[in-house]
Amino acid sequence: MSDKKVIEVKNLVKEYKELRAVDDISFDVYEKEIFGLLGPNGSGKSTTINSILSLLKYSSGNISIFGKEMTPDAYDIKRDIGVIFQDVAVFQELTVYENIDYFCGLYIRDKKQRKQCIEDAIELVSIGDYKKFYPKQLSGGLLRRLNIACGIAHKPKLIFLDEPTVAVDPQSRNSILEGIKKLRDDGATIVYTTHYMEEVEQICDRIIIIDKGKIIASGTRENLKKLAKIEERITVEIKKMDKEKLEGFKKLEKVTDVSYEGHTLVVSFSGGKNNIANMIDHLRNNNFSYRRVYSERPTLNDVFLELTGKELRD
Amino acid sequence: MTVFNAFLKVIKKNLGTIILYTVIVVFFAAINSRTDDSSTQFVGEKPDVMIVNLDKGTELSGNFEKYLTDNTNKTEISGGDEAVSDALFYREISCVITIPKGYEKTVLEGKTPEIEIKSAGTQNSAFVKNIVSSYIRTQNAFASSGENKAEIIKSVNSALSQKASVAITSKLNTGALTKLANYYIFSSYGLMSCILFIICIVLTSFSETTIRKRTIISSMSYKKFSANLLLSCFTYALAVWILFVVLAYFMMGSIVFTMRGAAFMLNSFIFILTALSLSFMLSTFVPEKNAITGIVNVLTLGSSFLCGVFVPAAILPSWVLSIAKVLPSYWYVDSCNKLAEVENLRSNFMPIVINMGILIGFGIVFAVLGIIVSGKKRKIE
Repeated sequence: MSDKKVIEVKNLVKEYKELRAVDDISFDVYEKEIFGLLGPNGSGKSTTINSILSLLKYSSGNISIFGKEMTPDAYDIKRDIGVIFQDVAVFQELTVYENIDYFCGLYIRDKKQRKQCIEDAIELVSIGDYKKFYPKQLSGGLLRRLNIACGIAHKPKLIFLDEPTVAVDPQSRNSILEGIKKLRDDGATIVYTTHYMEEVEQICDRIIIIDKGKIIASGTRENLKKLAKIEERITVEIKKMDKEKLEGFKKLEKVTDVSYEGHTLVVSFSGGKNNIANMIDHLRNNNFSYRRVYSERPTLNDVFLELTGKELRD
Repeated sequence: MTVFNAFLKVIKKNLGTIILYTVIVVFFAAINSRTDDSSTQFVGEKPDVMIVNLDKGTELSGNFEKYLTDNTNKTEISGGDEAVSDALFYREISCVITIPKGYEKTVLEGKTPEIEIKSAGTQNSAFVKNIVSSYIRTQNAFASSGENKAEIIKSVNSALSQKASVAITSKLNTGALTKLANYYIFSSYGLMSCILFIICIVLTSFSETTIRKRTIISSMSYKKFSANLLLSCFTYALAVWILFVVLAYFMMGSIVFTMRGAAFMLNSFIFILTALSLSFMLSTFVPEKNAITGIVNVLTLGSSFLCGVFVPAAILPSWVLSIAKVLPSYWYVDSCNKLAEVENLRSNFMPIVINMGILIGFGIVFAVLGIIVSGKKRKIE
């Protein structure tokens, strides 16, 4: 990541009659970073992206890309932008290769150069075996990969990915995420919107969390996680538990919360060392019949829960 | 070229449809060209009749019998009344004419003799009745003026021997023109189907929300993209039109490239422009691609039946034609029929020009409606 700003959004507002879909948000995206927009469905992520891309007329604010004001006619800016939408945008009548060729052809006229770009895109998303397939012959995961190839074949410097992994199998999801990291490593700047916190944690360098059109937190993964009250969560599978014994866990050092549901005990700690060892000692000393014990660091969902009182997927 | 290439690939995927409609038109045109149109030909015909003269030996009945024999095929039926009835029933003869006993006497008394005619009820029977009626009226006219037998016979023969000469003065090759008109009329179904189906498929593909968004965000200006798409649609429509004109040449010959053939071409060219405009409007209305086949079939078959493409307009009820006037095909078919019928094209071209103007009017209305609807749809998105 460099300190060169690729996108500057200042005081962006988008209103639909009485609804404020985007409420005065500002942020910057830097060159060669993967920038995550995290938020639940309907939080305003896609509206923000559509406003940045001039697909939507926003109510107020300023947007500049590559240091220039973004407008619907800014074709010099658009030349270096690639977009992968949430819904697959391909022609059913064209093959995989022909689809990529068409969308790449909207940017690159030279046939030879285009051919190389198409091959690179196909290789990046690993759909080389399906070049002559029609979209309806592809699985959901392969379709998503084709969708990505269509958006990045012209080798854009700035790529917007709007929930590109919705309804994708784990294998395709990993392939897509690895592809995105490779694009960043090759020099592209990525704006990634999703409501899957695991993906954001896995690939994003910086993140903003949006809820109800407002930015409620921003920063790196580590910075954001500090916003959560807990530092460690220990989960234990216990066959039986009564109320009195459950209260006993609250007496352990740095415990902030204890819950038991469906043979699963979850104990949250606000800090402290050797929490897991202390926990096991407590289990043994009280003759608990337990099986698996595992520890987790706080997630962005915990941050979101802390800030909004609800889960990301609510 | 990117848009045009994608357009061609979409067409290639739907080539079967184009071939199907073209084959249908060629098939029916081939049948049409084999049908001999004899409506403008004149052939003299003598009906088969049986003549029974019960006043044999008299001069006047003899002259009447001779006149009938000259103007019909006199046929003898043996076997009595039953055989005669059978001959009439099976249309072996058209009539049985019985000259009554006392025929001559009745005529000379200035009265009208009762000629019995047993008819088979055919068109030829009516013709025979006319001949008989004409002879009796003429004979009565001379008999009532006091002429004797010889004078009556002479005057009647002289009067009835006068014949009008009939000559067809039209220079039109009516048979070939009717075939050409039928071809162009039927090709309206093929033209409309090929254009509506393909253009609707292509335009709905290109205007799918996600694909359109991706196009808008690309570095190609949307105006340029729209112009490319429009030009592609026009090129396709033009290619289909040329295909149908070339087929017309192969099936109808050089008449296609005569002055009148050119008028047919101009008419069909304006028709494809209207169909193009209708396709654009339809593509903005059609909710999804799967519905296109159904909508196009209803439109093309419906308008073809109502406007006289499959059934000649001349035999359609007037209320059907009144409804058909709200469809472009009606004005196209009307022009084709007029082009096949009018003797002097130059002096009768105005009604055809008006029809073409109406077709252009339809095209403008469809285009305006399409622009309004697509604009509103974009706002909703």
